[in-house]
Amino acid sequence: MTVLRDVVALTLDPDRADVHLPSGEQWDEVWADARDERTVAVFAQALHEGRVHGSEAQRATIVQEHEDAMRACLRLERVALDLIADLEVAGIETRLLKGAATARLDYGNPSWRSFGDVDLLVRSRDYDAAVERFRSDGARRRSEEPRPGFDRRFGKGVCLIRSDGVQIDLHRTLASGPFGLTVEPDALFDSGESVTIGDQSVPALDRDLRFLHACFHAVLGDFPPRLTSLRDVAQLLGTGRVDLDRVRAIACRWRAGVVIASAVASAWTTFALHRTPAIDWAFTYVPSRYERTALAAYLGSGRSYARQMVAAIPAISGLGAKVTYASALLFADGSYVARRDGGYVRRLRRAALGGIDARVPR
Amino acid sequence: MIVRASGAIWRTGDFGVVVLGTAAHEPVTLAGTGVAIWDALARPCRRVELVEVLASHFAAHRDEVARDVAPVLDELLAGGVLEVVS
Repeated sequence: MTVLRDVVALTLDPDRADVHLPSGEQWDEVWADARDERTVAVFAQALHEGRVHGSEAQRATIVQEHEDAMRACLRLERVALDLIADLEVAGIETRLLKGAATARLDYGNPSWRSFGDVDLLVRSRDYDAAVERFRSDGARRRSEEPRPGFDRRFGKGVCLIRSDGVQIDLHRTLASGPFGLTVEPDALFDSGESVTIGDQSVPALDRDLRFLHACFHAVLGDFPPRLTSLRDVAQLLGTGRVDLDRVRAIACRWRAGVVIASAVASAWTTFALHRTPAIDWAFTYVPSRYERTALAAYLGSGRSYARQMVAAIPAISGLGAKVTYASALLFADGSYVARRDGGYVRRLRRAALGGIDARVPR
Repeated sequence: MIVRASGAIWRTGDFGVVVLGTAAHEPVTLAGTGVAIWDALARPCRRVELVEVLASHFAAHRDEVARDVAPVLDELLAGGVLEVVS
């Protein structure tokens, strides 16, 4: 991973030393990691800029796989345009999220930021209609919701697979679990920025919200964080155009300051980037008790979907909503249970052992 | 005059240029001469002017370039990679 980190870092820091690629099995491992970490485009950028050096065969591999990745991105952009237009006809407002938006808005050249799916945000009130619209077009849900209406009220969203294999991540908020529930989903539509794809302009989050989302994804998505997610955090902040004061104010309102601090500190540590006073804030941030507990559900060996669901209970306002939430998880539809937990017996056993406690709502 | 189609989307790299035209389902990869055509057509250009540019760039005879480029342009126009403008 060291070579991988060094290659990503040199695309963020012009003063970083060039990287000489290893050979043989070491190279095979590096390249396998590069693909897993979705950093093929980063290698292509570094190669293009003359910052990595390797054999002709290594160069050919990087260039070929970069071409494949870019072809895939173009297909996904076409799908995104079609989906957004279709939803617009139905009166459903959207925001294009993550790679498809950030590649064009936050990187000097979109060719240096690949992505593998289409991420769209819709308002909670439009969520079910959007899901049904995609399903009627042949897309299938990758996972069921615990109870009808659960996702619209408590969930992050759903992953839908189209008949052509394209994955659509339909979001109504920015994360699953507690931090997703403290986000104000409608506020994500209060502002926006257009991303131009071909001759069309489609709405994306504004820059500060894109940065917030990048932080959420880096810290609350995969564990350990993917290098490409941390790169987005560093890339966005490195533009100098993110209003950190506004970001911190929003994160504070969402009880998610720790997510931003953790993302920035992780990115700067992982890539050994130069720390400035603005960045030091992230290293000295003191999370609240709520933030510590909530964050723990996303990190380390104890990370699990069920743990995030339980940790979300304090973030739900009102006794009635807490009861609805806990009941939906305890008495979920069979198809959901079978996929997530393997069955009612195991689920009830976990509940009995303290995993999901029906007495929690107070 | 011919120009890059306004609705075409593309990416660049050391492989050349991949473009998804407005009338195509699959992107095409432009390499070598194809990249030179793509670069030249960032602005509207008459066929004859394009041939001049390419002939000069590749130090080749205009008739030869014209013969080689014509089917490429036709294919790219059909795929919505390029478009005709007045």
